[in-house]
Amino acid sequence: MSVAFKAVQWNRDKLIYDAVLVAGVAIYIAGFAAVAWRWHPPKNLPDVLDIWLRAFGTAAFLMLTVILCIGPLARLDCRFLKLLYNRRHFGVLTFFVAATHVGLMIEWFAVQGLLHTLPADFTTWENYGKFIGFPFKTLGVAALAIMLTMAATSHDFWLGFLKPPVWKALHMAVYAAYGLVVMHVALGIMQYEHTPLIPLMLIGSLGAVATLHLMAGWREWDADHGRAAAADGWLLVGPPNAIPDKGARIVTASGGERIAVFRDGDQIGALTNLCAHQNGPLGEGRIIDGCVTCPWHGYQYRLADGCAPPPFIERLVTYRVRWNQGVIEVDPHPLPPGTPASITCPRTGA
Amino acid sequence: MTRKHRFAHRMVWPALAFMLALGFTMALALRAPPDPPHAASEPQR
Ligand code: HEM
Ligand code: FES
Repeated sequence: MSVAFKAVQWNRDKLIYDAVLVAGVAIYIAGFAAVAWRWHPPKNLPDVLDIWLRAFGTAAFLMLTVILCIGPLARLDCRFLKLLYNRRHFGVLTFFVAATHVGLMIEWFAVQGLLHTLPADFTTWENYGKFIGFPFKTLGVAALAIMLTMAATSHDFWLGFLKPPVWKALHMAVYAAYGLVVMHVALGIMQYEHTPLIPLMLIGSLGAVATLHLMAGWREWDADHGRAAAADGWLLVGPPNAIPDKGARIVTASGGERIAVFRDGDQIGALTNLCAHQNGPLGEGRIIDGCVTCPWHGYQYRLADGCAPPPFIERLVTYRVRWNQGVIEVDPHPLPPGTPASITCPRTGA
Repeated sequence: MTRKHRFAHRMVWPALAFMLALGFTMALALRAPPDPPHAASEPQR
């Protein structure tokens, strides 16, 4: 998309996503504060700050948990692809919620005139040799530093500048941040407060993240190894309804090549999963204004033939698809870029 | 992600997940018993 390309930065879907996201976080934080206020009515300003500190801390932790669940959920059930589509905004908001948590913690020390005692929490070196008693705030700072790096480089400029493999590797650090935050809570507040809610929150989160990753990994392993191929080598995609409307289902050919099979109403077409721009995961994108739209920078391609609409010149490899006794199948042999190969499916019902 | 990456990933992540689960379990098992109720002190930070 060399000529005056304008990335799809904002569209209706993204605005709705962001509005729901911000509303959800605001409702959680306000609800947490309201319940905590009733339960342990604050006696002074530090108590009030403590409630907000916990509200923002738990919100950031739960958001991090949800972020880590979105990937495997989207692989398990296509309805969750919508969440994946705009996950970056989720990450940036999580950083701001976590940063507010830290700001409130500093304020908690400040209003009591204890700010000068804070550095000692980080510089009491012998504590770094302990397990219980480890400076848990340092773990929080490390997590926050990772989240800051990710939020700061989330913009497309950085994706282009760092190149997708480096960017992707950098963003895998979200798992490190998650581990650090789990230990920040386990070695911090969990040691001082004996409410069962804290271990329950951690166990619930770890359980959800691990289970979903295992399930998705299992599914993917199955798909990479044993996706039922017809006698003539065509790969099973599933019934048309299994492909989200205006979204894709990704199947893997035996060589490891991923194919994105899109559905737009009753039109079905298969393209390579690799965007011509910077190898973005096309199958995680959606069909917007009639074109398959890459989730990374919004490059667009026609479903029918994999060509970018004029005046652009990019062309993608396409694959033949067929409708066989109620299910869609795809031929794993690539066609030359830009070859028309989509079909109209008899009845999709959805 | 190439197939090699995927293979490496499959080997490494269970070890990291195990370490995190172990860290959490030890933090839970080794924590000090709760204060007796009358001696409620300000939570430490
Ligand atoms: C990614 C960043 C962070 C997240 C997600 C996070 C999350 C949390 C959570 C969930 C709690 C437990 C709240 C409760 O249940 O009462 C907590 C407590 C705490 N965090 Fe963080 N934290 C982060 C970063 C930090 C940083 C950087 C610091 C300090 C520099 C910090 C200081 C504290 C303190 C002092 C507490 C104890 C709160 C209390 O006693 O109520 N956190 N944090
Ligand atoms: S638009 Fe940049 S990778 Fe697809």
